[in-house]
Amino acid sequence: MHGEDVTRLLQAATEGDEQARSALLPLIYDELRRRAGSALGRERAGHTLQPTALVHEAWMRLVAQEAVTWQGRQHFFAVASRMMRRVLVDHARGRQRQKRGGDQVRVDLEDGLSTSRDADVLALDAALEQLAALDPRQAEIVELRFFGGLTVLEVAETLGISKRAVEAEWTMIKAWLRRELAE
Amino acid sequence: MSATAPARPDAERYRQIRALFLTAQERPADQRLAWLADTCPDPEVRAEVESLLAHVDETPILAEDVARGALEHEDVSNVDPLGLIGVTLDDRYRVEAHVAEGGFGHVYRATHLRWQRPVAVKVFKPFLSADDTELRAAFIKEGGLLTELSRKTTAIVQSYDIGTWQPARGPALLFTVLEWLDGRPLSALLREDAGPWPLERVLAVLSPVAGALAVAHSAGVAHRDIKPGNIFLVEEVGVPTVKLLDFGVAKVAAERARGFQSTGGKVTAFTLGYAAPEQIARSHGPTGPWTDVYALALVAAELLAGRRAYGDEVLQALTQARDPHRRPTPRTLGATVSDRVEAVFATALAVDPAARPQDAQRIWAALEAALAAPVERSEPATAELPTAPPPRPQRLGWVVGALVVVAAVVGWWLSH
Repeated sequence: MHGEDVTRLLQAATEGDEQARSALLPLIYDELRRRAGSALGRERAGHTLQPTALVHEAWMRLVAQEAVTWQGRQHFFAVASRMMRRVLVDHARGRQRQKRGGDQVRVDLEDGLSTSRDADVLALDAALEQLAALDPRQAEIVELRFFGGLTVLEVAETLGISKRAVEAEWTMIKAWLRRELAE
Repeated sequence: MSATAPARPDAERYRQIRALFLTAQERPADQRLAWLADTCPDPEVRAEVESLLAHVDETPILAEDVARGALEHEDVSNVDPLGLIGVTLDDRYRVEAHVAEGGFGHVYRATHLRWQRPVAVKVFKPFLSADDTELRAAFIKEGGLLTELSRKTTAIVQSYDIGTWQPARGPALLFTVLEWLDGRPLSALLREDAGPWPLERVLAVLSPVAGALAVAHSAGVAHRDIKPGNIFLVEEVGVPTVKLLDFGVAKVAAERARGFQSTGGKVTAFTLGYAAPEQIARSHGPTGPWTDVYALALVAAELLAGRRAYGDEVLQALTQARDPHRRPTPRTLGATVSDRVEAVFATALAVDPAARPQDAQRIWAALEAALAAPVERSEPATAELPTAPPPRPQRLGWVVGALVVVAAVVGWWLSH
C-alpha cells in the first residue's frame, strides 16, 4: 500500500465517496495490525507500545499530509481510532481463545477507578457497545480519545461541537464508564 | 440492545439522564442533589443521575494522559498494585506505601531498616520480569552503570541498590532502590507559576539538568524523556536542589538486551509533547544524546515564553516536528531573547538531529557563550531558584514518566 492510495481515498471519502470510505477501513486496519503485531511478536520485553502513538504514526506514514485537507485528517483519525479499537479487541479475543480462562489483556484505567483499577479490553469494548446504543456520539468521543489519542479540542473539531461541550460530555462518559467497569 | 438488562435506561431515558446530568454539572457541587430533587420527578431517572454524579472524578482516564504528556499519579496511597505493602525486600527495605505508577514500574516508599530512613523503591512491572535472563543481565549491568552515573552528579536521583522479588505467584520482579525525595516536579510548579520566566531563572533550574545530562552523555547514556515531569525540585530548608528523574534503567536495559541501541529509531517510551522529531518518525534516524538536547531546549524555550510549545495538541506536535521551518524557539513562542540566544535554540531544535549540538555539554556551552552577548530583557533578573509560592510538601516524592497507559496491555502481551 502506498501513501498516495490512502491520501487519494481520504480525499474521495471527504468528498462523500462511500466506497472510498469503506476501502479505507481494511487498509488502515491492516497497517495498524501489522505494526502492532510485529512490535509485539518480535520484542517480548522492553517495548512500550501505545495504541494512540501507533495511530499517529500510521498517520505520518500512510498519508501524504500536505495533500490532505483538515477534514481528511479528521476522517483519518476517526477511522483509525475505530480500527485501533478493533485491533486490540481482536487480539484480546485471540488470546482468550488460545488460553481459556487464562489471563486477560488489561488496560490501565489509572488510579481514579477505585474498585477496578484494571479493566480488560473486552469489558471496555462491551461497555462501549452499550454506550453506542444509548448515545452514539458519546461512544464516538470515547473512541477518538481512548484509541485515537485525540485531545478534547481535536475531538471538538472533528465532531463540530464546542470544546466545552466535549468536556461536559467527557465528564459524564467517564462517570458512566467508571460505574460500568466497576460493576 | 437494552432488552437484556431491563434496569438499564434505554436511549430515550438516557437522553433525559444526560440532559439532567449536564445541567446539574453546571451548578455548584453542593447544590446539585437538591436541584435534581426539585427538577426531576421520576425517581428512577433521578437515581441514575445521582449515581452518575457520584462517579464523577476529574482525574484523567486512559489516553487523555498520553495526549497530555505528563502523568502524575498523586495520592494513590491506598492502592497497592503489586501487593508489596508490608513486605521486606532483601531483608532491609520495608515497603510502606505506593506513591506513583509509570510506564515501566510502580514506585513505593520504603524504610531502609538498617539506616532507618526512607527510600524509594521502583518495582518493575511483570513484563520486565527477572525471569528473563537476558533482560536480567542487562538490568544488572545498566543498574550498575546508572548507580555509577548518579555517584558522579547529585543532579541525578541517587541510585542505591537493585534486587529481585519473588511474589507468591507470577514472575519474579526486578526493583531498584533510589533516594527518597521531598518536593515536587517542575510540571507541578508550572501549574502555579507558568512563567514567562527570566532567562536567569530558567538557567538556574536547568543548569543542573544540563550538567547531569552532560555526565550521562559522556558515559554514552541518553535519557530520552526530558520533560518538566522528570525535573524534580527538592524542597529542603535553605538548599533548593534540582534532580533529574527516571533515567530508566529498565528502558535502557531492555533496549540493550534486545540490541535496540545500535539500530535506533524504534518507537520507545517518550512523551509526545516533548518528543524530538526522531522519536516520532524513524526516518530522522536513531535517538541519542541529541534527543535530550532537543527536549532540554524545548523545556527552556517554554519556560522563557511562559507557554507550552505543543501543549495538548498531539497532531500539531507531530506535524510541526517535521516542519524544518517551524521550530519552537523562544521567539517563535513569543519570548524576547537576544539574536545569539535565539540562534542557539534554533540549532538545538533543528529537525535534523545531525544539525543540533550533539550533547548537553555542547548546547550548554553554546548557550553560555551566547549569554556573553548583550541580552535585551524586559524583566528584572533573579538568579534564584524557583521558590514555589506556598511550599506544599507532597508525600509523593516521585513522579515517574508518562505512558502508564497501555503499558499494561503491552506488558501482558510481551510477557506471554
